[in-house]
Amino acid sequence: MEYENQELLNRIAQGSEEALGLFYDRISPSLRGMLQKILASKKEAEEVLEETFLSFWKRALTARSEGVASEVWLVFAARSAALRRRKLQSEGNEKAGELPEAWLPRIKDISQLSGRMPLFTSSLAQLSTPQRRVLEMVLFEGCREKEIADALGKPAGRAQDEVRAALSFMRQRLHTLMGTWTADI
Amino acid sequence: MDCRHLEDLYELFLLRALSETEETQVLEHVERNCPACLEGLRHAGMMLYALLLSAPPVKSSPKQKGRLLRRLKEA
Ligand SMILES: [Zn+2]
Repeated sequence: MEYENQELLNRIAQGSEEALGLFYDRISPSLRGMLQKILASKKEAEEVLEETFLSFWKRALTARSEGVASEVWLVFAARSAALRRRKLQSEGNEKAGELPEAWLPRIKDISQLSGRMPLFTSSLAQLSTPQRRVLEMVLFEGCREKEIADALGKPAGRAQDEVRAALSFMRQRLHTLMGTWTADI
Repeated sequence: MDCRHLEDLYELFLLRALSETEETQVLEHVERNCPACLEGLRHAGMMLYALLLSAPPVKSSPKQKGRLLRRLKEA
């Protein structure tokens, strides 16, 4: 039987190990793909995946996260743990990469996005090569804008413009794909 | 609160990629529960979720899943 993420997450919150297993089957390949991109070592990626799922399980049993897309918490927690391993984001403690409830997207937004993710990420191909490179550096290498400029030997303003133009382009694409943009900003 | 100058910063804030000065600017709004900034962060989180999961998927072995499930029982 095909469960919606939300149904699985509700069951996980009630302590269902079976639901966690099913959720693991669903999300772990892409999560592992992200981790492998951050950490060259397969073994380390496996370890971080396991540790993050354990934290996710403990959090699910205690947090009251109604309406909140917990899978986003999981992805950020995994990224942050992997970057700590790589010692690229050494500042901050273990909890530093964990997003507070109030910052997390709503379930309805993530469900709406799910089916459109391949179309959305295919737009990455429309970025220029330098824009794609700097985006990779912020996403998967944990670089701050200043560090990108230093690493690529570019003026700080130029590197910053490239990162922000890439993000702005993707934001517009998401806006178009999602149809309705509900942010009142 | 006027937050238009922060619109480009939410993704970088969540990725911890901003300079300290800009990070503080966003944090000041967020800590005061600025509704526009919290909404901006949620949209940014949604976009980053998709981007971070865009790497080619890698399947884990059944052995690894088994080990995780065993550890859950102990947790
Ligand atoms: Zn604000």
